[in-house]
Amino acid sequence: MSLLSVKNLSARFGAFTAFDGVDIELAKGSLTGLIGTNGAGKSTLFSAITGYITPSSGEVKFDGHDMLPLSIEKRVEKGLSRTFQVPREFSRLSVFQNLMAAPPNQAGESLAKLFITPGRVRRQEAELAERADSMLQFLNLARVADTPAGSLSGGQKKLLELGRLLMLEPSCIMLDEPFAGVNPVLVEELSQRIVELNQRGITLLIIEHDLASLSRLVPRLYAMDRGRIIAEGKPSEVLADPRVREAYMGGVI
Amino acid sequence: MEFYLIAISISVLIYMLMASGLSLQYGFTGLVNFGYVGFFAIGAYTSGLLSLQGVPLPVSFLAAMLLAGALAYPLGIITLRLGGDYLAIITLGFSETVRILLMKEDWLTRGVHGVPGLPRVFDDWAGVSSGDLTLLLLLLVVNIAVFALIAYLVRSPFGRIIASIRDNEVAVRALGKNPAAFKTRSLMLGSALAGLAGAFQAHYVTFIAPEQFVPLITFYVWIAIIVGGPNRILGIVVGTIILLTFLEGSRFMRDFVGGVSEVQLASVRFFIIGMALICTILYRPNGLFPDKFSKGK
Ligand SMILES: Nc1ncnc2c1ncn2[C@@H]1O[C@H](COP(=O)(O)OP(=O)(O)OP(=O)(O)O)[C@@H](O)[C@H]1O
Ligand SMILES: [Mg+2]
Repeated sequence: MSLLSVKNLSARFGAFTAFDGVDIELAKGSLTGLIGTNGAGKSTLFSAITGYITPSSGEVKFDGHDMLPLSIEKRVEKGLSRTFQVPREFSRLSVFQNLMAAPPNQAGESLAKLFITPGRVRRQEAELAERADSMLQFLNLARVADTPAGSLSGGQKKLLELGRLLMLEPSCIMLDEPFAGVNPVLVEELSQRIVELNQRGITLLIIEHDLASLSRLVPRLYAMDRGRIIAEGKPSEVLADPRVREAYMGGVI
Repeated sequence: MEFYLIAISISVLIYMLMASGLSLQYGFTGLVNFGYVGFFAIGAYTSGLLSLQGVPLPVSFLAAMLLAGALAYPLGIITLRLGGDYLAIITLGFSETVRILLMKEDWLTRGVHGVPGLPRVFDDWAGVSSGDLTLLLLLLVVNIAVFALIAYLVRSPFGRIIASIRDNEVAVRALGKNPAAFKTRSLMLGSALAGLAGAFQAHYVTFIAPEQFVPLITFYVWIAIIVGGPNRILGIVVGTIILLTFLEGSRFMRDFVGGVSEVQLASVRFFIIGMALICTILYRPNGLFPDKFSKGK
């Protein structure tokens, strides 16, 4: 059954077409990659699916709901989440507090509840702190828990952003270049984590330029070029596709 | 001398209340409110006019806070969806609109003549001399309570979200939280504090007039929190004291030097304030007391 279904989606900025007639289907619990040369429109496609830009035409359905009329926040509430190509950490908050900020429906976010039920707020904070701690372990960030997120390395920021999303417990995660700037050992480890998440039932769509790591990780790939999906299927098939090879100028893969 | 010390301390503490509210908005949430004095004016006039109708002061003070806070709501709703820059302009317009309404709506506010004869806070039972001292103590207690409130808020999940908004609003949306809702609440809380400060001011000076609520007051409060450091309580305290020391000091300077007109003095004041701001931004961009994560940036 399809969890995310994108049909004939197009986005234009004035005369410039960022992407055109894109169709993507993600089955519930699937793990899928999205590749494409620089400027192919991958990140912009993510932005259109998650509500940061308004597409000029087409359809985005998630879990049976029409997503296009919904705000970014409402889409996240439905379980559709994303990371950004350039990490957007809360720079002056500690790594730990970055994670604590994420979970939805915190009692302590309501001014009334802060004063009427402080006990409940404290209990919830303690629960969340435990989850944040194990997330820090999971992502190898425990050592920098109290560091301001702004002073993390580029790769650590990527990990933090992933961790922040996971604190939301979303049903679908779209990752924009999770391996960029992450060292090879950690890429392996991160791939392992992604598989574990997928085994827990989370649907993932991953943009990545590290084609080798990505094709080892995902069973299915989409390839994009100049705003269009040019191939889809098993990684080996997609990477062998002449159009894909041409888009990557022959030599690279 | 003793009277003078009490008087200046009262001014410091009234400004400190305002600085607390503005630092909640700017230092802790990142909201740029250039019309802060508008909420101070609303508080002063609300409590002042109500008290003349025989409303007891505790009630009129409460009304001042509630009205100032409530008026921030529509401003928040209109501007906070549009992003940061609009808020600065719209709030500045708001405070000037408030001042012009206070000048023009004679039937309610007596216009430019102002409203004299407001009741003082403790005179009824403490007498004029110890009344001021009692007021000073009350202001001290109120300020400490406000600091405690701010400290509790900024360490709470609510405080975490407003700090996140200050750092990266888009990422807050990516977490499924609506920044406008949080920003509106911070704006309302900070404005309510300005309203409370206004009520204290009105019943301390016993006279309110539109000319007391010019944009310059907004910028004084801004200077206090920028010099002190906008997201530390110590910064609020020290920044306010520095500001008032300077404002009072420049008055003395005129007596001391002699032959300086009020207009000339005002220009010198502006010059020094401008220099102080430039130096702060150049050498201590996060104020004298930056929060621990802003150091070295
Ligand atoms: N808001 C915008 N206004 C105008 N053009 C835009 C906008 N957003 C994206 N574009 C353009 O759309 C094109 C696709 O950009 P996008 O970021 O989606 O590429 P990408 O496939 O993610 O590339 P990369 O692999 O380099 O990240 C680019 O040419 C970009 O300049
Ligand atoms: Mg991209």
